Amino acid sequence: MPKYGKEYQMSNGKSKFAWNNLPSETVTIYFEDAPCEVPSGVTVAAALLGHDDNHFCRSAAKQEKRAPYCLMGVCFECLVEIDGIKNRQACLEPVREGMHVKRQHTLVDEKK
Amino acid sequence: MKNSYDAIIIGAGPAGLACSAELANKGLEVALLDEQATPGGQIYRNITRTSSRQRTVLGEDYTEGLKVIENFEKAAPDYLPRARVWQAEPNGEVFLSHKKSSKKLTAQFLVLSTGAMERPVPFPGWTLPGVMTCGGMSNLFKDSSLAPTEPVVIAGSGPLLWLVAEHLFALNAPIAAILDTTPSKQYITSARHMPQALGRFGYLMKGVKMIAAVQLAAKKAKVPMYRNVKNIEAVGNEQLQSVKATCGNKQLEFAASTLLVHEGIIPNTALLRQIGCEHTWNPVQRYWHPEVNEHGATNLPAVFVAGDGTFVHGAKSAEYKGRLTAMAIAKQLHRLSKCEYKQQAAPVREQLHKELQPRPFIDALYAPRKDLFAIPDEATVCRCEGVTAGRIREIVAQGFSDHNEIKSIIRCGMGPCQGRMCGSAVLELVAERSGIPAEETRPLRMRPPIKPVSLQELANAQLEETDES
Ligand code: FES
Repeated sequence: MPKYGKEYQMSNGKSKFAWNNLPSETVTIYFEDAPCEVPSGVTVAAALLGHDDNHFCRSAAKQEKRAPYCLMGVCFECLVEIDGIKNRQACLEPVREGMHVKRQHTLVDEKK
Repeated sequence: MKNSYDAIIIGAGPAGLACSAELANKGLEVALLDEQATPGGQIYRNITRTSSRQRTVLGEDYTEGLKVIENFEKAAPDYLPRARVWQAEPNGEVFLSHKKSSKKLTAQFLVLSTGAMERPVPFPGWTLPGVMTCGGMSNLFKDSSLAPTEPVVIAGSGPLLWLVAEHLFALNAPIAAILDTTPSKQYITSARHMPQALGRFGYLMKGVKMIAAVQLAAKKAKVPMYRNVKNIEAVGNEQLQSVKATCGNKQLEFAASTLLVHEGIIPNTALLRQIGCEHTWNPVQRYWHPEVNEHGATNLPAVFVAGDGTFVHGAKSAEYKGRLTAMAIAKQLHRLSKCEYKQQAAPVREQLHKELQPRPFIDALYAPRKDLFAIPDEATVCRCEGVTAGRIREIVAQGFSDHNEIKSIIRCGMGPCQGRMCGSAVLELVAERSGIPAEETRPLRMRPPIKPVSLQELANAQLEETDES
C-alpha cells in the first residue's frame, strides 16, 4: 500500500480518497445529520467525495445516483442542500464549522 | 462595493486578474466578480492558500500564478468572491447572487473572462459516481489536497491527461491504467505545424519531457499504458466498478473506483451566449468560440471577452489577452491616448504572438478524433434529463436539426446544467445524422438565470430594484 500523509476518517464511512499532508486544523460539519470532522478550508465536494456509496444527489429526470463530475461548477452533478438551501454546488462551497449538508434528491423552487 | 463601475470583469482566472489589475492601475473603477472562494480560476485555483507541498507537486506552471496574484493585489480593484453571475446584459448590467441575495451592478464595459471547461464527451457509464474529469481531479488536489487511495484509471487525450498522471504518480496514487485515446495518425497530420511550433522549442520540450517522465514512472510502477485506445466504457451498478476499452483487437478491463477522463478543453460560453455574443465555429478543435478581435471586442460595443473564453490558448496567453483588453477599454475611456495605447500594447501583443506559435500544432495533434462522438445509442447524452444518443438520433432523423427545437421536444438540455454538458455531443449527433455541418446549425440559447437562484431570491431582488429607482 502506498504511504499517505495524515489520513482523516470521517465518522460515516470509508473514503476512496485521502487528504494529502494538510495542516491539522479541522472543522465539524454535519452530513445527513451525522457529525464529520474534516480539514478546514476544503470544499464540500472534497469533504464528501468517495464516502459510502459515493453519491451526492439524484438526476433530475430519472432519479439516478450522481456524484461530482467536473469539480468546476459546470455539470451541476454535485447539488446538495446546505444549511437548508437547495441547489448548492458542493464543488464551489468551502466547508464551515457547523455546516449542515444533505444529499439532494429533487430539484425544487427553481426557475430553470 | 459600489453599484456602478467603469468596468466589471467576470471570472478571476489569469485573464480576469490581469485585466482588472491593468484597469485599476490606470485609475479606473473596476470590480472583479468570481464564483470561487479564492482568486486564480481553474489553472491557479486556490493559489493564495496552497501549501508548499501542493506547490511542489503542481510545479512551476502553477506557481507562475503567484506573480499574477501579486500584481492583482497591488492594484487592488474591488473583488467579490463567491458571486454567481446569473445574467449579464449588453448595456452593462450584471445580476449576481451573493450570500443568499441577488443584486444588480452596472458598468460602462463588461469583460467576460469566464475561461474554459473540459470538453464533455458522453460514453456508456459516464454518469456513474466515480467518473470524473482529469481537470476535476486536479481541482480537488489544488483546493483540498485530495488524492485517490483506491485504483484509478486515466483515459483520454491531451496535455492535461499527462499532467494529472504526473501529479498522481508524485502523490503515490494507485493508478490502475493509462489509456491514451489520441489516434496515432494525428502525430503525422499535425506535423506540418511543427516548424512554426519550433519557434517555442523550450515550451514543446517541456511537454515532451513531461510525457516521457510519466511513461518512465508508469514503467517503473508497472502501470499498464495503452495507445490508440477506443470504446471507453464505465461499468458498475450505481457506482464505478471497472473500466472497459479496446486497443486494436484487444479487449481491456481494469477494476477501478475512479475513472478520470479528458478529451480536450473548450471555451465556456454559457454567459457569452446568454448576453448575445456572436460565435464562430472552429473546424479543427470543433467548438464554438466568440467572434472577437485582438483585444477581445465582440459584436456588442460594451462587451469584451478575454482569456481562454475567446479561444483556448492557455494561462500565459490568457494573461496577455486580459491586459490587451484592459488597454483597449482604457483607450475608449480616454485614460490612454492613441499613442500611449500603441506603445503599451505593442510589447504585450508581441508576447502573445510568441505564446501562440505552438498552438496550431497542439490543436491539430489533440484535435477531437473522428469517432469521438460515435456514441452508442443506449448511452446517456443529456445527464440531467437522461436522454440517450439513440433518442437524439431518432429526433434528428425526423428532420429536427436545431438543438433549441430538440430541447423543447425531448428536454435534452433543459436540466440544471442548461446544455453545458450535452451541447457538444448534440451538435455532433445532428451533424452525423442529418449531414448538416455543425457550423450551419443554430447553437443552443442560454436563458437567464444561468446559475441556480431560488424564486424567492429573484422576487426579493426585483423588490430591491424598485425600491431604489
Ligand atoms: S461537480 Fe460539476 S458543478 Fe460541481
